[in-house]
Amino acid sequence: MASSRSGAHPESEGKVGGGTITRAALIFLPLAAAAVAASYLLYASQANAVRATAQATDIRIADIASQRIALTVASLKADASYLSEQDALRSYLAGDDATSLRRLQAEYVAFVRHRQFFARLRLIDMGGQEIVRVDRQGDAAAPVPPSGLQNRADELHAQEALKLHRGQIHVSELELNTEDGAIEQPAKPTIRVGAPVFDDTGAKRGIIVIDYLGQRLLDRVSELRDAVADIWLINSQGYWLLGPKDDVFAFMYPDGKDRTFAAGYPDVWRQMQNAPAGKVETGVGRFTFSRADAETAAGGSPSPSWFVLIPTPHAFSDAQTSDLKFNFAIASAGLLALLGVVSLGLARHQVHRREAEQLVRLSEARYRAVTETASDAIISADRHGSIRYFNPGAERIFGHPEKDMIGQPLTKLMPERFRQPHTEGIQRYVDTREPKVVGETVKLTGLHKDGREFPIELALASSDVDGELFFTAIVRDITVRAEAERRLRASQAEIEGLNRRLQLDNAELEAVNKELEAFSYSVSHDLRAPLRAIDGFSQALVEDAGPMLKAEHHAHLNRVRQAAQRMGLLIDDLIKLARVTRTDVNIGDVDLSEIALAIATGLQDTAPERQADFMIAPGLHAKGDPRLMQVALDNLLSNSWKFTAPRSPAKIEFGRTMVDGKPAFFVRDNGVGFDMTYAGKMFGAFQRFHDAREFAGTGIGLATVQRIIHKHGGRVWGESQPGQGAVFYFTL
Amino acid sequence: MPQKFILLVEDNPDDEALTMRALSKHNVANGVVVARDGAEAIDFLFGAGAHAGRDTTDLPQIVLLDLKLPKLDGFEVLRRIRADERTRTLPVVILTSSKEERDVAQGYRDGCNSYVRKPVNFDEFVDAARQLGMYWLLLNEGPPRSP
Repeated sequence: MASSRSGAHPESEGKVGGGTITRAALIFLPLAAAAVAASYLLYASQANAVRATAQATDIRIADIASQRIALTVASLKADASYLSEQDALRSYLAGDDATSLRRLQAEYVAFVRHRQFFARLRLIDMGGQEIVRVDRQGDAAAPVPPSGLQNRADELHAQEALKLHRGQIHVSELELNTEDGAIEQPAKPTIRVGAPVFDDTGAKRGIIVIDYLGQRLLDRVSELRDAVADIWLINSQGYWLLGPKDDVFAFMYPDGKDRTFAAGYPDVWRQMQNAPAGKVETGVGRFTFSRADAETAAGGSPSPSWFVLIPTPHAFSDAQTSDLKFNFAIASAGLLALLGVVSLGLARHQVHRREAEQLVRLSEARYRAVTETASDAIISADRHGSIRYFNPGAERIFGHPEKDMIGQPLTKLMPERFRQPHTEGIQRYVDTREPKVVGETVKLTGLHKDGREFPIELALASSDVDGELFFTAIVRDITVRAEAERRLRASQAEIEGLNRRLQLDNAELEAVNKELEAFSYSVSHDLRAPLRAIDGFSQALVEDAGPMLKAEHHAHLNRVRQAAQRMGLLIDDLIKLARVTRTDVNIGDVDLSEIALAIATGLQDTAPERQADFMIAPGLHAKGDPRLMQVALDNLLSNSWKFTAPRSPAKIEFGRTMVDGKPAFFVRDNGVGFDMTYAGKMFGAFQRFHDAREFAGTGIGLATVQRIIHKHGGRVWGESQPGQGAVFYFTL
Repeated sequence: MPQKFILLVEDNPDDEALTMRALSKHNVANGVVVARDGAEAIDFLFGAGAHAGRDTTDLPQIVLLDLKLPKLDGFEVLRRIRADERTRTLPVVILTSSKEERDVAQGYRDGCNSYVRKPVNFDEFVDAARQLGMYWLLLNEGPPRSP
């Protein structure tokens, strides 16, 4: 459980995993696109508003400028009209004397001084000759003396004005003033307004000409420039009067005839011809224009008109919206960052939720897998004991198909006699919530569909689902186990009986052992005494009555003695065997080589005259009982010693070798050997292979060796051929 | 000056006869006093019972002590000999049929000077008796006698 949970959480808390990034991107990208789109739309609408405002401003400024021009021209025309009908002029025309001329001059001086933007005021006769001329000099004005008066008959404006009828007024183009055919420096833009002069008889006598300082008009237009990108003034021929510095009044210069707005922007120019005001969009920007007409009387010479033109290049429009763009960009970036953070948060939340959901699904799947495949019955019921879930295990154990059991009472699964207590128990738990069976495992009896009762083990858990109490029971059919338990109890009883018997047997065995011990003790003491007597008195008889006895009697007595002595040996060996049998094995480290060497030395000492080669491998240690190993080796080496008696030199070897991959000790000799046919009998007590007359012995030695080796958990066996020596192996 | 003698503690008449015979082969049988059970041996040594009034300073040169004895067994006799001031240093040789390890160990623990097993073979027995007599009566210098 723990491991699967940790497997579902490869990312530790607080760390953003690859899945989270991807998910965050999936959330972020559409949100970001929407945000950018919305932002852009908002920006676009704002920018449009700004542009619309700019356009409206352009139109208004153009209108104002053209109105200013029109008003100025109208004012000039009014002045010209007034001057043409002035009393002083009438008096002069009627009298034509020096006094009236001076009076007219004085009037003109006063007028020019009063009209700050009048550069000059003149009266010219029908021949083009100046009669009165007042020039502005700074704030002052002064009449030009008669010697300075010029004839203007060759000037276009004079010619046009002289053609006028009563009530008509001529307005010139806005030009640079020329003096004596050259442009006056500094340049002096000028509009000339002329009106015809009639005397009392109604005869046309000449013209009044006002030279207006056009710079004033240009300034009045120019001052509107602050509100727009730029403001240009273009005359009806398409020349700039206000505009690119090098191009203004180009028509006044011999090399400037081509430098017209019309040439630079023919399309715009064409459209400007068709309407008094409007705007033209071009590739480089927007042109807003308004035309100002001089509106001279009909039938007169062509009157000038001017275009106020506001050129708004795209760059200017863009500049107007650039702040807006910047602000929106900042706002968008902020919004995107915020969205990024929100997306990341959402993604992490989603990833966590998805992992949590996966865990839940996994848990559900696991639960389903467990419940559907469980060999146990898993049954859920509501607080009324009505079955709500019945798994395949339950179908198998109780024999009812699930569809038959859903909604059925739980009691249907138990024998009649348990139903009432069950229902009461459920009710009691519902009322008190005191668990008696809930949370426990109890053994009950189930009822199969076929009416058979069987033992069950039931674990009951209660759970609260949305405030409703449910019980879930896990039921195991323990028929087999109950049977097994019954058998186990039976065998346990049997074992107990056996144990009791074993204990009795042990006690008995102990008693027997004690008896045996007492017996062997007694044997060693008491059986020997008569033997001694037999032997001793036989000898006494031989000694005392020797001369009276025949050789035959001596032989008999000798046999009696030998028999007695032999029985003494038998008793000794039997006692040894019995002692080995009842001795406990005390395992320790045994130096077998040392023991063998001591025994060999002892054997040699018993018969120093015998030629014998003992070959004892040095340093052979083993785990065993030192005393018992001493006895075993003593028996084996003594046997070899005994059966090598006919050999000279006798060869007796003790060593270690490998037999079937395991270490085995051996005692090898070059003695008389034995017939392998009887090898199986060799280790039985009192089994002898050799004639007692040839080799003394009781036949108990190898039995003792075997008993000792077996007590060590080892194995002992011998190999030989008669006359070829013998080898005895043993393992420990 | 009392004669040197041996105290033989032996209940088996056959063994007694054979022992006497073996000893006599080496001319030491004359000086043999036989006690036929443990109690008699103690009575003899300490001048009690049938031996009341005996001069208890007249101690044997050696006690040949069998282990399996009626009334008091050999070990008990040995313990009493060693427990009494008068006989604490008296040489005692256990002469018995058994050579059970535990008997040998017990004998030495209780203070015997020697442990000899009676061989079945009479020739060997004779040889053992000869060696015993030779050693204990002739060769060995016994503890000093109190006056």
